Amino acid sequence: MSSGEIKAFIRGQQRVYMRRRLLEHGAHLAGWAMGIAALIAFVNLVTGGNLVLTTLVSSVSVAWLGFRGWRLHRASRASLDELAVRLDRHGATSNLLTTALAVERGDAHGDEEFAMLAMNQARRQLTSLDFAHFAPVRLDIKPLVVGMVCAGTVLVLYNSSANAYLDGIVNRAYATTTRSTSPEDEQMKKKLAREEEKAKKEQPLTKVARERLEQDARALESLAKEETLLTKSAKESLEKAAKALREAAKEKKSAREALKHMAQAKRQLKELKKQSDKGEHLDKELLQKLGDKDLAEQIAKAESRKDRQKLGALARELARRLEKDSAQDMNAKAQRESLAKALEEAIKNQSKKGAGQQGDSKQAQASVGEQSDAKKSSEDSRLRRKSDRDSGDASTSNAMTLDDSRQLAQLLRQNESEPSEDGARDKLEQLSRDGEQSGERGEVSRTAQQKMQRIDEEKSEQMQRARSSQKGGDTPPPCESEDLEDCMVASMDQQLRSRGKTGEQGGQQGKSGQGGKQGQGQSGKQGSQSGEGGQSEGQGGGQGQGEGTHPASSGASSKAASNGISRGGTPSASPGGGAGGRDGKQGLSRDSSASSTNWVKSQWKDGGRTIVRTIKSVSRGERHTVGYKDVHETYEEIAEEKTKQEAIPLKRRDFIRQYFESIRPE
Amino acid sequence: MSAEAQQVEEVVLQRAVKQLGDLASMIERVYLGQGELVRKVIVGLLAQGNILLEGPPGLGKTLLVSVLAQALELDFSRIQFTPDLMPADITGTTALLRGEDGSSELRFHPGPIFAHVVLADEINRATPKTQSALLEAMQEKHVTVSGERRALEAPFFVLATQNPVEMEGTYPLPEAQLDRFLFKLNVPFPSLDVLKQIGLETTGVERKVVEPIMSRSELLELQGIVRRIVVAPKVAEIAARIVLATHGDKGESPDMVRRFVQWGASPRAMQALLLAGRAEALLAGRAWVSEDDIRKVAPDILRHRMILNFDAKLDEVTPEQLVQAVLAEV
Repeated sequence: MSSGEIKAFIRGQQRVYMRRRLLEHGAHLAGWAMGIAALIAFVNLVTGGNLVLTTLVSSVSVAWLGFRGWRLHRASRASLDELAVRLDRHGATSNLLTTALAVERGDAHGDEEFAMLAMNQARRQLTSLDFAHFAPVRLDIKPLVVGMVCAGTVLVLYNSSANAYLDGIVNRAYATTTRSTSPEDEQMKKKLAREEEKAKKEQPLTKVARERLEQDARALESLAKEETLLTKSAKESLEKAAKALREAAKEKKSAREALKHMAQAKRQLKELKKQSDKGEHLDKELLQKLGDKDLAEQIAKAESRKDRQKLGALARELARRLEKDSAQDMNAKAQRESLAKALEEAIKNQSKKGAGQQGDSKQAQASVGEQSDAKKSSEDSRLRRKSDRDSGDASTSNAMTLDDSRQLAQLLRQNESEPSEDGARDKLEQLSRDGEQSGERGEVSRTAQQKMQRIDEEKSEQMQRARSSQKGGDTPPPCESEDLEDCMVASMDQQLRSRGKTGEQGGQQGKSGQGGKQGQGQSGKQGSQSGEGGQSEGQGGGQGQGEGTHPASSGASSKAASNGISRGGTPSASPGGGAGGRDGKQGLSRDSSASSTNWVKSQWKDGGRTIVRTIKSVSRGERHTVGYKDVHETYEEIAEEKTKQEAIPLKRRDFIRQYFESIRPE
Repeated sequence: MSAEAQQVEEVVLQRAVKQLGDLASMIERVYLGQGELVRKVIVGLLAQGNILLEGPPGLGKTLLVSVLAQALELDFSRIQFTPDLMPADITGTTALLRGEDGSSELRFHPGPIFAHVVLADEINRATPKTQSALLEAMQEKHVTVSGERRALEAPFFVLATQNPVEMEGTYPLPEAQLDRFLFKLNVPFPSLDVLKQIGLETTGVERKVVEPIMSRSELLELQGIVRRIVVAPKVAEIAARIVLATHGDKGESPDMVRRFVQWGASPRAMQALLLAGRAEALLAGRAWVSEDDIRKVAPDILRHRMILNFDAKLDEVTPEQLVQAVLAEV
């Protein structure tokens, strides 16, 4: 083999590889193509040759197929290097071809002699190795099978016998979905409706219908009897109508026959209505023969029934009589008076039976008052004023009571939810005051007063509860500050107060000395220095400054010391560093006389404040220690509460909880 | 290249393979039942790397190193690290000596580091300051004493051991320092047959003698041959992909790596892969590196270079699992 032969060999293998891949892809895509063709045919069949839909489905499917083919081809492309690696893996040649190709190309790294060794080795092995099966064809038959099934199904569907069946299914489905009917169906529907109607008409009336007809017939008959002023023809019309209705209501009559009778009754009543519209339904002779009392009664009846035609005829008769009487002065007054009395009594009787005062009385009075003299007019006007007053007062009082009730109801509802709202309370007060003034609103006033009392009671209870909680029990309020140090300080204060410790204030502030000298090791010295600087002392004095440089030596115990936490300055500036070194527990005793916490400004320029706790035993020359248990009590609650607030993953919470349990003192 | 030259190179390769085979056999004659470990140590030696051995006491770690040194005719020294060991105890000191004539001079007394093969026993027991003295020597191949730089003679090979049992009061090497070791090898416990053999052969009268197999110069030559082994870019690419896959946010890293690895392997790992791969290829008698060589050395190179996060510790995920996931992904 000559130079470039490795490359040529691999190229040859590449062609073989690509041919095999194309075969695989072709089979894969052919299956999909068959499936798509079947889909298009099915869509065409179902939509009845809808060109738009079919074209749309075809375009999308073909585009998708093309894209899929392109993706497959792209994924299967292999460079010469990648192919060399494949060949090496197949032939277990330990990347010999890969190296030889690189050497041939000139980008292999290593010794030239060794590179040529690799080349020669590759040449020797190439002739002996069989790469025929290094990239075998693997056909994916699933798409093929699916595609063939789809195509076969569609072909079957296109068969005539199956098509007719499908047509039937499709037509019925189409009809159901589109709600359209053929002309034959429409005719059939109408025919059915007619027959249904016809059948209904042959059936007898229901019992309810017959009873109603009977009722109407009775009403007409009673009307004919009661109306004494009707003309003969009017009475006959009424009677005939009643008779026709009775006929219709007979049991065995069909609906059709009943309708005939009802139509007859209707005609009679129409006739009567024509007469009544013209005012010809009343007998004038009978009218004229009526006495004054009877006339007044008839007027009252007509007015109560709202029979305008009759009332008009009666009013005309009355007017005629009055006109006639006015020519004879002697009887006019007596007659008018008797008429007015009779009318008044009749009206009263009618109103007792349920007629309303307003409007009707005015109307009746107005018809009489047209021809009255001064006395009658004053009497009329007196009656009028009384009527106005009654109706006005009633409506006003009703309105007032109703308004107040509504207001009260609203306020009560409001106060249920917001009992302490001042606006509502003011309103209640006003209501109760108004109610006191006017007796008619007493109920409202009483209710408002009761509600006010309840509100006051609730308010006082709330205040008592607030006071008792502020006094503070054993449980400190939950810390809402985001700063852990704030919470710790607050908790410490709380604990000190609850233990009843009253320490000295920083009387030794600004003085150095003892506390500082008690410091041990490096931090102790620094403590004394800063103590001289006028810091208040704690366990070892020296806030802020010295301890910052030796955080380790500040000591765990001093950090946890009752002096609390320094703020600002260096983060590791923990006060009380005078407790010394890592083992800052050098002969220190417990103290039980610590004061409440004080604040001292740090000596650092940018430092904040720090807490100081004065311990008496130190001033007496005693040694002091703070037990872990004391410290733990201070921080345990806060730390655990804060831990709960942190966003710790659920599956890690147990781990954190176990940690805290492990450091809990026995 | 002429045929003769080609033949010469082939002979060189074959001779190298034979020598290395003999070396391994000699060591295994004395250090029983740890053939794979011996082979890896030889690979590390050829790649001019330092090795960290981790295993419980009593597994013959010291024996392995001493036998290796004897077989290669190299100077061997053993440093037992203790908490009170000072850097000067390792590198040596300058002392003032008074001569017979009354004159005084400063004389340098080299420390145990001035050897070809150094066994740093229980390196995690020494303080970080002392550890750094050794690590500096490993990296720079020289030490500085009293301002004077003194080179360490080639070949310089450190085998450090860590005892995973007694971790109380120790200073485990930080991950950044572990990166300087080419391999971190776990010394496995011998099997039943091997134990039996160990017991029988080491408690009798007969003592096995280690014969030198090659000289220092031959070893240096072999180390030179390793660097001549050919690497194709495609093979280097595979090594690079493996290194990248140890980073959760790069390359084709598996899900496990994304979840449990805080920091992946550094570019030193890439150098180590290629060097060790070349050494593997030489051991196999090939003039070129294969992908299999890279995959073979990857676990020993990567296990101590991936820094696991807290989740991995809680879920007890081991570096071995992660390395296997990486190799499966690439």
